[in-house]
Amino acid sequence: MLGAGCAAALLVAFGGASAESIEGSVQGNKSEQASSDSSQQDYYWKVWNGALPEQRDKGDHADVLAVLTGKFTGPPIGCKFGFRGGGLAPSTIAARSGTTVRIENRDAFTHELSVSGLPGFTPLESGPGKARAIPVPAGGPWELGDRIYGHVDGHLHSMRELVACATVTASGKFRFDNVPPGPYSLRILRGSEQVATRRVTVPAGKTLKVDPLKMSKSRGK
Amino acid sequence: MLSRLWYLVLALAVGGALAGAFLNKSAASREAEFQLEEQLRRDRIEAELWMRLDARLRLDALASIAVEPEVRQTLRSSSGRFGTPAVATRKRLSQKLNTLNAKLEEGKGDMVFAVDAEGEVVATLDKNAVGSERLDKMPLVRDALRGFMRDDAWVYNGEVFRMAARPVFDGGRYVGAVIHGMVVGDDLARRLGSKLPNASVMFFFRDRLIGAHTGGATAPSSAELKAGLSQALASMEAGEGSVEIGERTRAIASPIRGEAAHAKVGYIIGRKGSTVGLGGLFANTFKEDVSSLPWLAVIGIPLLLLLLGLFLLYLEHDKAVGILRKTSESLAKNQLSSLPEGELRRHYRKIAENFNVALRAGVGFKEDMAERASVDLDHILSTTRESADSSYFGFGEEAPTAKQVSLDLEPENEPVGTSPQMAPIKASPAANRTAAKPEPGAPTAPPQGTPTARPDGTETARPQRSPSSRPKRAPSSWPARAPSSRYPAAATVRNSEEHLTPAPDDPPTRPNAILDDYAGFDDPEESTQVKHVPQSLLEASAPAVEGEETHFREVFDQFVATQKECGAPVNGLTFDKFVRKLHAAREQVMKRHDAAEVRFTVYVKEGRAALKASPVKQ
Repeated sequence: MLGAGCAAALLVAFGGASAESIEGSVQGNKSEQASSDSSQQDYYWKVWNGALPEQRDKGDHADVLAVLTGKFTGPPIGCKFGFRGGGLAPSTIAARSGTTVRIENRDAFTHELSVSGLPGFTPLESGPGKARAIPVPAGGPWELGDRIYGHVDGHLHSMRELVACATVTASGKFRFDNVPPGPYSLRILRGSEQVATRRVTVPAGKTLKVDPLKMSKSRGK
Repeated sequence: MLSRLWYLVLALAVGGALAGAFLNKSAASREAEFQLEEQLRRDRIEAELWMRLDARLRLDALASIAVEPEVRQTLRSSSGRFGTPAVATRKRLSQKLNTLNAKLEEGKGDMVFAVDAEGEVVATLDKNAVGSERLDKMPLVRDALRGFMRDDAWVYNGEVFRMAARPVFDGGRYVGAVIHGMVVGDDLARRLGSKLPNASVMFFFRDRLIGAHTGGATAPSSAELKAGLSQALASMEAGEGSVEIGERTRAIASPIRGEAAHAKVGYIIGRKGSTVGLGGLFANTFKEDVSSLPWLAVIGIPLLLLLLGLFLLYLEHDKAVGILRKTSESLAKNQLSSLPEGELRRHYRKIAENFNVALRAGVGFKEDMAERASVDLDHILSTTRESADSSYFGFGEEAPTAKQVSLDLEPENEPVGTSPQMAPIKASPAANRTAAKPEPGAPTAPPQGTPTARPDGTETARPQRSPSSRPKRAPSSWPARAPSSRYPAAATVRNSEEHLTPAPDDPPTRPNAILDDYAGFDDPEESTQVKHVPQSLLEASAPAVEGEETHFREVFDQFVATQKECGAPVNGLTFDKFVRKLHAAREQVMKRHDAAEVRFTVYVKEGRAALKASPVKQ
């Protein structure tokens, strides 16, 4: 219902132009959080159960974010971020420069978001259902963290012409909805880096299907 | 010298022992502090081992929940494509979890989750919590969902939990996991503290105390631990060991093992050390230590050193003192004439040499010398004086002593005292020879045998008096004395008690009265004095009397001359009166000092001539 309202508002903003979708996918290594977000200092025991073989981590693209940048003055589309399952989802966050990005806590427990190097931002506890607003100046990216949970990490990108954001599923697919027709730059962000980019033009009345984007090898988080 | 060196050795030994004791105290204090640090390090290891064991026990206890069929079936129905089970099912599972959790007894969890294969919470201990909650990004849950049993520590809504997770599998696949959490609080601190006697344990979350246990009266309090938390944390972050957080109190901090360490959750163990005083040096001495001491060396070496010291002391002092004691006894018994200088060394030899010199010189006690040298005639005659006038008879500090006189006369070989130079007049042939020769200008000896009347009517011989009423005496046996170079006015009268024995009723000796009242006292005394002098004695002592008369004349002349020089009147002062007083004074002095001779000296006192009598012993 809310989405429909937003779409209607976008149509009004673009003078009655239609809002289209972009579908695409990325190719590249999935992130394997299990091997990176815990260390031997976090436990006394980590032992195989002895009955069934270890379940291999399928990995995901929780650290990948697809964004569109272009000439668009409306609020960024689909750029909603928050804590879920004990971590940031997604962990790569983009915000338009000079605006404020909200990080919602959708978990049942408190988080305390921290942004390294962002002046004027003080880590505060955010209880379940609460959101933390981060004013985003030009610059970045900034590293995100949680003062309570060490495994939480992410990156905040400040983008001057941010139009829309889309999360990438575990299978690598992404989809932009309600995007006004026009030329854009499709960018894939992973961690602190932009790992893929492509110029696209969204046609009116049609869903743009983008060929798979191959993510360049990340230099790390 | 050697014995003094021994005292130095003794002092150095005592100083060394004290220094050693204090050094040992410092070393013992450092050792105690080091032991305390080591103990805290061991405490931390002990705590880690205990929490590791505790984590294992919790993991094992979770098996009873993970294998429960209802848990497995519910999670299987929730996983995968089946979606979240119905609320009723979730509530039943929640009830089941409570039941199973209660059976864990000591391992009963304060927080239990049953999550499906996607990490979504299906049931908790709270039956009303049926919302959509996920834990799939929590490392503990992720590992459990992959098939691992794992422990962790979480900060969950402001509380700290020790977590444990165990996978749940059903039908040959993983269907979820059971997550179990126990609050970190006083109970955990107590259980941990029971493994660390006399230590205090405190769990903290940042600067907040979340659990504490005090290990008794000898352990630091929770407040002390909390006060030292910042120091301990700083030390922990620096990778250092324990820190001193109070007097004799040290603490060591360690992060809790688990993700909560990121939130600065940890524990601190504190202990108090013991004070090491000088007495405390032996606090840890055991009987075995005492028995293992090399007693032969501990007792034998000091004993040898003691004997050596005593031997040196004997050589240097005791031996010499013994020699001096024996020889002085012999000296007192007149068996020896001097101290054996050759048998003595160093200071004792010098002492003996000095004593021998003194013995050869005939030196007596200083007090006697002083009295002999300076007799205040006023004092001597004070018992007989009615109106003392110390202007004429007295003594000054510069009065020559008998020894001085004798020494003064020594170049002239004048006999004084018992030494050859001090031979008694009577025993000196030279003196007799001298006495036979009348001195020029000396009065002639008075005729002897002149009868006189005693008070009792008997007649006795009284020497014929000169115009000055003095009896004519034979010339003195003393050699003519030249005036002392040091005391020009000094002259000596030498007497022997055998020659001159004062009569019991001799007139009172009031020398000062001679000048105080010239005219009023001579007659009765004069007659009495002369009357009581035995003729035989006078005859026997004639030579001495002759010399005495000469001396008295010299003294009188000097006295008159001095009086005139001082401008004092001499009217009424006759030689006879003067001589009577000198006689009286001489007798008094001789009695008092047991002297054989008395020497009178004229000197000026308070502007007038005065006399001084100096006793000289033989």
